[in-house]
Amino acid sequence: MITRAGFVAAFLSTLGVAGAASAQGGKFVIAENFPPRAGFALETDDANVLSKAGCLEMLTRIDFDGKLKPALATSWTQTAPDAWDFTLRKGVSFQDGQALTAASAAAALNAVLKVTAPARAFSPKLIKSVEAINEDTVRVTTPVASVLTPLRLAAANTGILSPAAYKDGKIDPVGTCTGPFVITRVNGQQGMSLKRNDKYWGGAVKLAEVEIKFIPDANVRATQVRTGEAHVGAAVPASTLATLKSTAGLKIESIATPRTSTLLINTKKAPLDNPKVRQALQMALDLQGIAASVYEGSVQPAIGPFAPAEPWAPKGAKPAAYDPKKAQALLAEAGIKPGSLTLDLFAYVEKIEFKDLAAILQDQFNAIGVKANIRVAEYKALEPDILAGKYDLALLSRSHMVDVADPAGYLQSDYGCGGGYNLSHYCNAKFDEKLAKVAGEADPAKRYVVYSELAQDLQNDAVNIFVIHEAGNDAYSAKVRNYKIHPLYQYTLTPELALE
Amino acid sequence: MWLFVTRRLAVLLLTLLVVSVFAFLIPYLSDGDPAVLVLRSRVADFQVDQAAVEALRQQLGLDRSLLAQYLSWLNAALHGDFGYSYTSRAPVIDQIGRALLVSITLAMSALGIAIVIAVPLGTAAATRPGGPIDTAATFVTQTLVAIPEYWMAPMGILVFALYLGWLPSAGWDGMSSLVLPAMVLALRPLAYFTRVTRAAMMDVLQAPYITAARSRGLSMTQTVLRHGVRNGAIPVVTLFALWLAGLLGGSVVVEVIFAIPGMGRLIYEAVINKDIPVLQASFVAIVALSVLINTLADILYAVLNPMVRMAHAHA
Repeated sequence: MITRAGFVAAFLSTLGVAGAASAQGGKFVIAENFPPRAGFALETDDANVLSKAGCLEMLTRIDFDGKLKPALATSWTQTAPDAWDFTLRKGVSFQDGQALTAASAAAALNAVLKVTAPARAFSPKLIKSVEAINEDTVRVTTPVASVLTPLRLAAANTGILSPAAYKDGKIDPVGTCTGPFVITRVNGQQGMSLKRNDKYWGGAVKLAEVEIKFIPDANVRATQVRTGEAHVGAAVPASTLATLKSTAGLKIESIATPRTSTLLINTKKAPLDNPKVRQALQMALDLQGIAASVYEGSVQPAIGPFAPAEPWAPKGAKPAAYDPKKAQALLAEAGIKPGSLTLDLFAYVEKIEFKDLAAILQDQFNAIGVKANIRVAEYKALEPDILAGKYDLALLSRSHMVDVADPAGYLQSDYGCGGGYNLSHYCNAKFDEKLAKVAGEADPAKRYVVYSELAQDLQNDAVNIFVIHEAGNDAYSAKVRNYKIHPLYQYTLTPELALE
Repeated sequence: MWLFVTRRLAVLLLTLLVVSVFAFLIPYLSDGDPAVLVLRSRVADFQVDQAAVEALRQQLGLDRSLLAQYLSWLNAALHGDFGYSYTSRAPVIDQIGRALLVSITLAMSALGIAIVIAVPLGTAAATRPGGPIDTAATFVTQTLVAIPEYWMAPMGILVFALYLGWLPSAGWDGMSSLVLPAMVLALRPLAYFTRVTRAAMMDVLQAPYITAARSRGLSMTQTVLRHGVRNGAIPVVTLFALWLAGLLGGSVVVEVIFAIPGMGRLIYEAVINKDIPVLQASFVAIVALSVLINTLADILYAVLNPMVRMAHAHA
């Protein structure tokens, strides 16, 4: 029996139109989700667009294993508590032929510091000065002692471009990067064309030509891979994974992102200021079931604020136990009778899963005798009440590595007593003390141990309910070699990436 | 006739002045601090640095009074300067020019497809009311009116891009990428055009001059082609203009799904990024074009229909 695909193929070959829409020849095509939105201003997320495109490079880099590695700088030393010297790699040239020098690197970093709204990862609040102290050394000083400076220099916002890129307050990345790929054409928010940088300092680059298409609709990105119009479809929706997995010639690359969907709890408001009530709510939730149903099994139930694969996650930790009976007992211990507690649950529409998630949470809370009134709106409409502490529960998708590849900033801002984004209004002197003590610790391994303890404390205290660790899924053609998702989404086009 | 045109142009200018006030105010009517929202769109995160927000507010001039902002905006707009995008930092006028060109191409293609099918179909349906063509046309048009574009677009992609592989699923790169979105956009106007053509033709075919033409020995086909279509098409001209004006800024769903860099997507991105200068200029451009298109349609209507010219001459 002839299959539908076989019939269509035969029909198309007769018409001579088969493959009309496929990605052409040796050109590598990727369907990306986020276009450059700010004229490639490096203090914005556009810097990530450039680093993902294999154009922009920084002094240091977070590698695919999550560790800090040399990039344009080969080494770095803390010469004083508040000063770090970065030694530049020799023989690196920008794509316009100019040599990378300490002066040009310092000028690039100072340009990012001087903008009106600087990047959080690299702002004058955190960085006092950047100067070239000799031909190949850049000194970065901070207002206070900092062990995180080398990590800050891995943020895409600190990318180094040729002096020619900085004109009239604008950024021109065409031919001014140092990376493995040279941008040849930028077509607004539609796409970008790139070619191999034959003089790349890091060695041979396998792909000769690349086209990046910016496609806002996630389902269309998935379709582009299925039709063969793109070799990679970035951030495909969970709902398409089953179909994509069953499509011949396609593969899925998944990664737990440093982002956790969290049910915030207003810990300053009675009776949620009682840890027993919070623990009861935590035990009422079947996180495994939520991951399997709302997210169709594409994510892992949360073990705390950090995903298990992260170096600062508590070793061997498991999701909070699902135990409705114990939850009811805890509520009884807290003096709350079944049906007597009603909580407001906020969910914002920008995260499409949150409406369904809120409905399931409402149902599971109801099972232990706690009523939840759901309020769904845009985040901006909910935010004033959340910030002012006029809420009970709120769903939030939160990244703990927005600024720098270390969760210290997140722990401080979200759970420190004076934290700038402490939406759960949590304040624990011991937590702050522990965090302050580790701030000056230069050894990452020692810092990570403390972070994992703090994460476990948050989980045990049920400060918030960490629901699921969000995942990123990219679909790609089986002809693509060496495709990996970077844990911080900083690099996609690498020298090793190849097309069969 | 000239008096008629002059009057319409005066109304056009007055409308634009009123529109400019609304265009300026609309972005401020929504909740939230524009500076915070602009900053969030740049870093894709809710947590923003308050000092950066203040600096941005000053840089964008959002700390001035609304009246001061409006007057300087109007003065610049009258000189063709709509400022720079808050996000891309490119001149707004350039962005709108490029996007309008794309949307006009898409809208004209869609309406072209619609009219080429609708006029013969509506005419054929009108010549035999209740006949098989009329019944089929009524069924098809009623179905098309009910199908939303956000459903039809993915279906079109599935069939023509995924299963058949004839057309690209998204993008704006040559003629082939125009076909699918234009077809999707054409379906609803096609339904309306067919129904309007049918109704107009049924009126026309009962007119005395049609009976006179038939009595002179002309066949039905000759009568319809020589005397019926021109008169029957007059309401379609008005409808065409209305749809064209609507599609210039109103094809957001299709432009986003097919990743087409037209006005719909520009406005969509501007709303997401809280890009006030782009939103304001887009609104002005779309309303101005709508009024202009409808003015031109009225003039064309007058050219096609002498009774309209007579009425204006006597007025």
